[in-house]
Amino acid sequence: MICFALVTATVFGVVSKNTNAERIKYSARVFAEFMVVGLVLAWVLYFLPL
Amino acid sequence: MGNADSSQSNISNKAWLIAILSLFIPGAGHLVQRRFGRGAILSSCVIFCFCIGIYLGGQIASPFVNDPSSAFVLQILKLFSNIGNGLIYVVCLVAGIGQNYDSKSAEVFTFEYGNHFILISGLLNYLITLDAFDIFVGRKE
Repeated sequence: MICFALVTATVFGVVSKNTNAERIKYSARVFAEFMVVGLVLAWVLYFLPL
Repeated sequence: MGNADSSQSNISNKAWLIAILSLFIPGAGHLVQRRFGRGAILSSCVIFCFCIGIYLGGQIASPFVNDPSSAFVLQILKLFSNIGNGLIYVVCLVAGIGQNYDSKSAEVFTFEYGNHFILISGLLNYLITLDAFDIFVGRKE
Protein backbone atom coordinates (compact mmCIF):
# COMPACT_ATOMS: atom_id res chain seq x y z
CA MET A 1 0.00 0.00 0.00
CA ILE A 2 2.89 2.34 0.81
CA CYS A 3 4.54 1.58 -2.57
CA PHE A 4 1.27 2.15 -4.41
CA ALA A 5 0.55 5.41 -2.56
CA LEU A 6 4.10 6.65 -3.12
CA VAL A 7 4.16 5.98 -6.87
CA THR A 8 0.65 7.30 -7.51
CA ALA A 9 1.11 10.41 -5.37
CA THR A 10 4.40 11.22 -7.12
CA VAL A 11 2.89 10.94 -10.60
CA PHE A 12 -0.23 12.93 -9.61
CA GLY A 13 1.92 15.67 -8.07
CA VAL A 14 4.30 15.94 -11.03
CA VAL A 15 1.52 15.89 -13.61
CA SER A 16 -1.01 18.21 -11.99
CA LYS A 17 0.99 21.13 -10.55
CA ASN A 18 3.28 23.72 -12.10
CA THR A 19 5.95 24.61 -9.53
CA ASN A 20 8.19 22.26 -7.56
CA ALA A 21 6.93 23.52 -4.18
CA GLU A 22 3.32 22.91 -5.23
CA ARG A 23 4.21 19.46 -6.55
CA ILE A 24 5.88 18.36 -3.32
CA LYS A 25 3.03 19.72 -1.22
CA TYR A 26 0.36 18.08 -3.38
CA SER A 27 2.24 14.74 -3.55
CA ALA A 28 2.60 14.68 0.23
CA ARG A 29 -1.11 15.45 0.63
CA VAL A 30 -2.20 12.74 -1.81
CA PHE A 31 0.16 10.22 -0.17
CA ALA A 32 -1.23 11.03 3.28
CA GLU A 33 -4.81 10.76 2.00
CA PHE A 34 -4.16 7.36 0.41
CA MET A 35 -2.63 6.06 3.64
CA VAL A 36 -5.32 7.44 5.95
CA VAL A 37 -8.23 6.31 3.75
CA GLY A 38 -6.63 2.88 3.25
CA LEU A 39 -6.10 2.31 6.97
CA VAL A 40 -9.56 3.61 7.93
CA LEU A 41 -11.23 1.40 5.30
CA ALA A 42 -9.19 -1.61 6.44
CA TRP A 43 -10.35 -1.18 10.06
CA VAL A 44 -13.98 -0.57 9.02
CA LEU A 45 -13.96 -3.74 6.89
CA TYR A 46 -12.28 -5.67 9.73
CA PHE A 47 -15.25 -5.05 12.02
CA LEU A 48 -17.91 -5.70 9.38
CA PRO A 49 -19.22 -9.27 9.43
CA LEU A 50 -18.70 -10.08 5.73
CA MET B 1 -3.07 32.07 -43.80
CA GLY B 2 -1.81 29.00 -45.63
CA ASN B 3 1.50 29.12 -43.78
CA ALA B 4 -0.29 29.46 -40.45
CA ASP B 5 -2.43 26.42 -41.25
CA SER B 6 0.54 24.28 -42.27
CA SER B 7 2.50 25.39 -39.19
CA GLN B 8 -0.52 24.53 -37.00
CA SER B 9 -0.81 21.12 -38.62
CA ASN B 10 2.95 20.57 -38.19
CA ILE B 11 2.68 21.32 -34.45
CA SER B 12 -0.30 19.02 -34.21
CA ASN B 13 1.59 16.20 -35.96
CA LYS B 14 4.58 16.68 -33.66
CA ALA B 15 2.32 16.68 -30.61
CA TRP B 16 0.79 13.36 -31.67
CA LEU B 17 4.27 11.95 -32.32
CA ILE B 18 5.35 12.97 -28.82
CA ALA B 19 2.21 11.40 -27.37
CA ILE B 20 2.88 8.12 -29.20
CA LEU B 21 6.54 8.17 -28.12
CA SER B 22 5.50 8.81 -24.53
CA LEU B 23 2.99 5.97 -24.70
CA PHE B 24 5.63 3.53 -25.97
CA ILE B 25 8.45 4.64 -23.66
CA PRO B 26 7.18 6.03 -20.33
CA GLY B 27 8.57 9.52 -19.70
CA ALA B 28 10.16 9.86 -23.16
CA GLY B 29 7.69 12.59 -24.16
CA HIS B 30 8.97 14.77 -21.33
CA LEU B 31 12.62 13.94 -22.03
CA VAL B 32 12.24 14.96 -25.70
CA GLN B 33 10.83 18.32 -24.55
CA ARG B 34 13.86 18.81 -22.26
CA ARG B 35 11.91 18.22 -19.03
CA PHE B 36 14.63 15.85 -17.84
CA GLY B 37 13.82 15.81 -14.14
CA ARG B 38 10.13 15.28 -14.67
CA GLY B 39 10.72 12.66 -17.37
CA ALA B 40 13.11 10.68 -15.18
CA ILE B 41 10.78 10.72 -12.17
CA LEU B 42 7.70 9.73 -14.19
CA SER B 43 9.57 7.06 -16.12
CA SER B 44 11.02 5.50 -12.98
CA CYS B 45 7.60 5.54 -11.27
CA VAL B 46 5.93 3.60 -14.11
CA ILE B 47 8.79 1.10 -14.51
CA PHE B 48 9.06 0.60 -10.73
CA CYS B 49 5.32 0.02 -10.46
CA PHE B 50 5.33 -2.49 -13.33
CA CYS B 51 8.37 -4.37 -11.97
CA ILE B 52 6.76 -4.64 -8.51
CA GLY B 53 3.66 -6.04 -10.20
CA ILE B 54 5.66 -8.72 -12.00
CA TYR B 55 7.68 -9.47 -8.84
CA LEU B 56 4.50 -9.97 -6.81
CA GLY B 57 3.30 -12.56 -9.31
CA GLY B 58 0.95 -10.41 -11.40
CA GLN B 59 0.03 -11.43 -14.92
CA ILE B 60 -0.12 -9.30 -18.01
CA ALA B 61 -3.21 -9.60 -20.21
CA SER B 62 -2.52 -11.28 -23.52
CA PRO B 63 -4.62 -10.44 -26.58
CA PHE B 64 -4.15 -14.05 -27.73
CA VAL B 65 -5.39 -15.84 -24.60
CA ASN B 66 -9.07 -15.99 -23.64
CA ASP B 67 -9.70 -16.22 -19.91
CA PRO B 68 -13.01 -18.09 -19.44
CA SER B 69 -13.21 -17.10 -15.77
CA SER B 70 -13.41 -13.39 -16.59
CA ALA B 71 -16.07 -11.39 -18.46
CA PHE B 72 -15.16 -10.17 -21.95
CA VAL B 73 -15.56 -6.49 -21.01
CA LEU B 74 -13.24 -6.90 -18.03
CA GLN B 75 -10.66 -8.62 -20.24
CA ILE B 76 -10.81 -5.70 -22.68
CA LEU B 77 -10.39 -3.16 -19.86
CA LYS B 78 -7.45 -5.12 -18.43
CA LEU B 79 -5.87 -5.33 -21.87
CA PHE B 80 -6.38 -1.57 -22.39
CA SER B 81 -4.65 -0.66 -19.14
CA ASN B 82 -1.85 -3.18 -19.78
CA ILE B 83 -1.19 -1.76 -23.25
CA GLY B 84 -0.63 1.59 -21.51
CA ASN B 85 2.74 0.24 -20.37
CA GLY B 86 3.92 0.46 -23.97
CA LEU B 87 7.24 -1.11 -24.82
CA ILE B 88 7.59 -2.81 -21.41
CA TYR B 89 4.32 -4.64 -22.07
CA VAL B 90 5.44 -5.68 -25.57
CA VAL B 91 8.80 -6.93 -24.27
CA CYS B 92 7.09 -8.97 -21.53
CA LEU B 93 4.56 -10.33 -24.05
CA VAL B 94 7.32 -11.44 -26.43
CA ALA B 95 9.60 -12.76 -23.68
CA GLY B 96 6.77 -14.62 -21.96
CA ILE B 97 7.19 -12.77 -18.66
CA GLY B 98 4.12 -12.63 -16.41
CA GLN B 99 2.14 -15.09 -18.49
CA ASN B 100 1.63 -18.16 -16.32
CA TYR B 101 -2.08 -18.59 -16.92
CA ASP B 102 -2.55 -21.55 -14.61
CA SER B 103 -4.28 -21.98 -11.27
CA LYS B 104 -0.96 -22.35 -9.41
CA SER B 105 0.08 -18.77 -10.15
CA ALA B 106 -3.26 -17.52 -8.79
CA GLU B 107 -2.58 -19.35 -5.52
CA VAL B 108 0.24 -16.95 -4.68
CA PHE B 109 -1.26 -14.58 -2.12
CA THR B 110 0.27 -11.48 -3.73
CA PHE B 111 -1.19 -12.41 -7.14
CA GLU B 112 -3.99 -9.80 -7.08
CA TYR B 113 -1.68 -7.11 -5.69
CA GLY B 114 0.68 -7.77 -8.60
CA ASN B 115 -2.14 -7.56 -11.13
CA HIS B 116 -3.27 -4.23 -9.75
CA PHE B 117 0.24 -2.78 -9.78
CA ILE B 118 0.52 -3.68 -13.48
CA LEU B 119 -2.91 -2.14 -14.21
CA ILE B 120 -2.03 1.04 -12.32
CA SER B 121 1.33 1.46 -14.07
CA GLY B 122 -0.41 1.34 -17.47
CA LEU B 123 -3.07 3.85 -16.42
CA LEU B 124 -0.44 6.19 -14.97
CA ASN B 125 1.41 6.07 -18.27
CA TYR B 126 -1.77 7.20 -20.10
CA LEU B 127 -1.86 10.18 -17.70
CA ILE B 128 1.82 10.91 -18.38
CA THR B 129 1.17 10.74 -22.13
CA LEU B 130 -1.64 13.31 -21.84
CA ASP B 131 0.66 15.54 -19.79
CA ALA B 132 3.42 15.37 -22.44
CA PHE B 133 0.86 16.23 -25.15
CA ASP B 134 -0.48 19.18 -23.13
CA ILE B 135 3.02 20.53 -22.51
CA PHE B 136 3.83 20.44 -26.21
CA VAL B 137 0.66 22.23 -27.32
CA GLY B 138 1.19 24.87 -24.61
CA ARG B 139 -1.71 24.08 -22.30
CA LYS B 140 0.76 23.47 -19.46
CA GLU B 141 4.25 24.60 -18.50
